Amino acid sequence: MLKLLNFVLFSGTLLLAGTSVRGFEDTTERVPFHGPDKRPGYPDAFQYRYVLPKDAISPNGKYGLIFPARALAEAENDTLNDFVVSLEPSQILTRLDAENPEFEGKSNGGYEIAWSPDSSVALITLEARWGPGEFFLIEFQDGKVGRITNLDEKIRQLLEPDFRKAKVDRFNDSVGFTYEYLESQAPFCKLEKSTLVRIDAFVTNDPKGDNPWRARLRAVWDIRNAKFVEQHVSRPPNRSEK
Amino acid sequence: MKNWFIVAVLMAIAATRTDAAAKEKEHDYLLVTAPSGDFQLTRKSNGAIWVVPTKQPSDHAVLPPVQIEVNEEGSKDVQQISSDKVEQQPRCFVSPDERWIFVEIDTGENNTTGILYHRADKSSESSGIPHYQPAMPKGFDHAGWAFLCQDKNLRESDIGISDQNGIWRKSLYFGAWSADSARLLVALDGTVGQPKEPEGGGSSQYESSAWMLCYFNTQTGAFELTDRLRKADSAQSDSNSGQTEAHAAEPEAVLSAESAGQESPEPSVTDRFKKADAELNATYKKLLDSLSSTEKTKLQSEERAWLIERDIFAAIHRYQSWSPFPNASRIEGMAIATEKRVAELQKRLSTGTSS
Repeated sequence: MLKLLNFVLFSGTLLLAGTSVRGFEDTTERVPFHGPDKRPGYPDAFQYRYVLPKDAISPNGKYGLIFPARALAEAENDTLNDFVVSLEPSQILTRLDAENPEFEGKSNGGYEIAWSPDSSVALITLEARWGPGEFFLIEFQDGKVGRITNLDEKIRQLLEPDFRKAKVDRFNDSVGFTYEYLESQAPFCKLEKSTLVRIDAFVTNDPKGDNPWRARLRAVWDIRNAKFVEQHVSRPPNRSEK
Repeated sequence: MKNWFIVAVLMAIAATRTDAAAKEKEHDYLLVTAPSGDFQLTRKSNGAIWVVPTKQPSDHAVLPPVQIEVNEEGSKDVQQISSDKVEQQPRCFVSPDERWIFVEIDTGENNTTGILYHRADKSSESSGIPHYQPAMPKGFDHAGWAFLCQDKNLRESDIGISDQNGIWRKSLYFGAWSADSARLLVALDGTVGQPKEPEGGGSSQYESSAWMLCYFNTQTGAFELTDRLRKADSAQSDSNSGQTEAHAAEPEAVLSAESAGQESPEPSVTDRFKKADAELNATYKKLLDSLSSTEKTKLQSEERAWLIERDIFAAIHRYQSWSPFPNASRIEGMAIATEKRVAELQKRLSTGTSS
């Protein structure tokens, strides 16, 4: 009996350790979000059509990230939006300018939000098929969004010269290379207090290939000055070389 | 000692009951608040919709459930169930005069139906709690489809027949309430005829589709069309040829319901936005020309931030309007935001202030 209990606990620990990214299927706790500019006598569309997961709320309870609910995602033909919101009062602060927004029930989706202890900075990771998909850094100031940085774009700018030098096929037409989990599923971008983002990211032009172009970026983003203060691009060994 | 035991038991029961009541309240889902704020519609955990007066939240009346047709996933058969048994939360739209409530309910496979409730005479209402009854004994949904079938010379039994995979399309959904509560705009959308399975696989093919925008006139108790809706319905037939651009306003869009005696063509939201945008460009240029280089840079950066705010406002406007025409609604939101911005910049221009 004890062995069985140990096995269950051990399996649970393994599962927890491997689950660094949250998807909607795993998220049970949701908080009602009431949107602004509701029409008199009409339902609140944000309450119906958006989801505010409890784990997407800042430590001080003032901010959060809302995602389209399954019903909206299924009905929608065009653009879906993820919004950064304030909770008291309920306001939409900004739209996350994501290429592939997260939504409830998205396949190969997921999100990870790291908040600084004082809730002044949020680092948002949206998952994609092979690894993280997009990174956003949100800085809050006086209850509003002071600055939003598309870290994905900044990271890509650092990797682009090495990718071009390699003269390999593009991952797809719009994106030359994609992020992929290689050594572990640890977050590629880690927030340190509200001052730095430490980046350790792996990219490839062909996540299914045996011998594709692969690169690793180790860098540090200075939040206040909005620039990289450290950067190093290297080529990790391919699977066949290991 | 015995008395203390009884007191302790009674206190424990009271605590359990309070806890249960709090837990039940936690599961209540606020559907809508009346325009006056006098009452709210709340969905209970058993599916019932309660009308709860704001001033006396301990009292309530129940919105009577009605039988509706649903089709569960993968099933070919239509079932009749009570409207309070549908799992998804219904959407409730209270008319501006609060005499009517339209309830839109999911019926499976992204289809919806609607129930219209009418408020009973205030004299018959006990202790000020509003009481509502279904407005059409034979079903609002049925009356709507009968109106469409008569207008388009179709049989109702031919609408929304399931294919072999249980996939079907037959929806009645909310459009808008008119400001005077005289008209409820609804849209009807369904397939016509028996499904045919394509030889190479893929979605089932139907003889045709039926689509219509129509009003329910609360004064006459009948469905009706106006010139605005006839024009929209014919534009829909044209747009079936695939001419509509993804982000352009839908050609058949009707965003508002006409009040009685105020019938008029639907104003074009695209034209409204274009006009406001041209005004904004002209005003912005004038203001920019009047500023110092530092102030210019500040205004340019402010304008970039405003463009993002405009798009967010348009997205909010679009969602909160619950329109069947999302693109047109979004463009209307962009027009409203732009008109406000024009007024703001014109004020700055006239007062000679940069911000």
